[in-house]
Amino acid sequence: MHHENTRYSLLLVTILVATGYLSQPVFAETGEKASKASTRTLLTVPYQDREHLLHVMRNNLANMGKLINAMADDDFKTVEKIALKMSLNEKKAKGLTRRGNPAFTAMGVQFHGLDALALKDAAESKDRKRTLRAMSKMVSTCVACHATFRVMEWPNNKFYTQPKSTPLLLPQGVVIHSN
Amino acid sequence: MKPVMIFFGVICTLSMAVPSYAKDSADGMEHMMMHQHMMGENTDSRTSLHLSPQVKQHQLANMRSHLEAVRNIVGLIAEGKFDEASNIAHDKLGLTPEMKKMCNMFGNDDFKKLGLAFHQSADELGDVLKKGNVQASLNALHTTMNSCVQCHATFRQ
Repeated sequence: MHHENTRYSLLLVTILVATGYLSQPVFAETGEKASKASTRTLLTVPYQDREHLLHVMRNNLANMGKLINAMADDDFKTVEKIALKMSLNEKKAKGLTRRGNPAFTAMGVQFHGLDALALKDAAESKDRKRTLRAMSKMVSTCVACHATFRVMEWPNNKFYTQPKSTPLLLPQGVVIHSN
Repeated sequence: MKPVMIFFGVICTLSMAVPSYAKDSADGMEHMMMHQHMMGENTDSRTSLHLSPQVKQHQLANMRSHLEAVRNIVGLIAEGKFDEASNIAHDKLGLTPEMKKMCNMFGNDDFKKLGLAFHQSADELGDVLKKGNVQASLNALHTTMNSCVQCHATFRQ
């Protein structure tokens, strides 16, 4: 009788594993844990928009590498040029507002509208310490934004429609460049 | 009376069919996007590492920590605090046993090599920072950051 019960239990477990009944709750639980682990705000943007945002950030990373390289040679002119390229223009302003999150837009304005221009100004002064400080301040905004927002959804990415654009609120003195 | 009934019948049929068509059309669009995504028809031609959701999250958290370390190193170089910058380079970016273990668990050999090269270059950065030379330190930081740029341009999670 005992052997029959054991055999039945083994058979049941085999069938459940084979049909996925036992593995599904495990996956669901780990998926749930994964989503709980991230407390960052999800930007619910369409797939193409998300890919574009990731592409823009890879460009920002490449520019950061170029800025550090230029500073290694005290090439302030190149730093100025790159900083101006990274500053707020019409295209970047639209890119920020169309992600539909006012806090994200504000962080983008901080990065492109304030930090990039502060870096340009610092490079113009040819003051190494000031320029490196401005660069570090700029990366602080990257750190803050990455700590606050995410564009990937776990365990599976979903598709979203384009959110309503946020208004573009510019701090005093911040202008949209035609670069 | 009969033509009026036929007319209302046609209207009712159409009113049911139109939302149904719209839904099908929206579903079709989503299906098409999903298909494009799965077929890799979008602009992203980077190599996928096919990571599990948990590993993806862990890796993203690591990369955020790396970004923070780079920010701190640049700031500390500006202030002439090279010893502190060196410690950060070794502790947060260097090839610690944990990072070595993590790099070695990836199935993609090119990614593994790039990851190990990144962490090794960070240890070299830490050594250069110890010497207190701004330009040499920035050159070494640039080398380390090149690995980040190259990796992000080549791989996706």
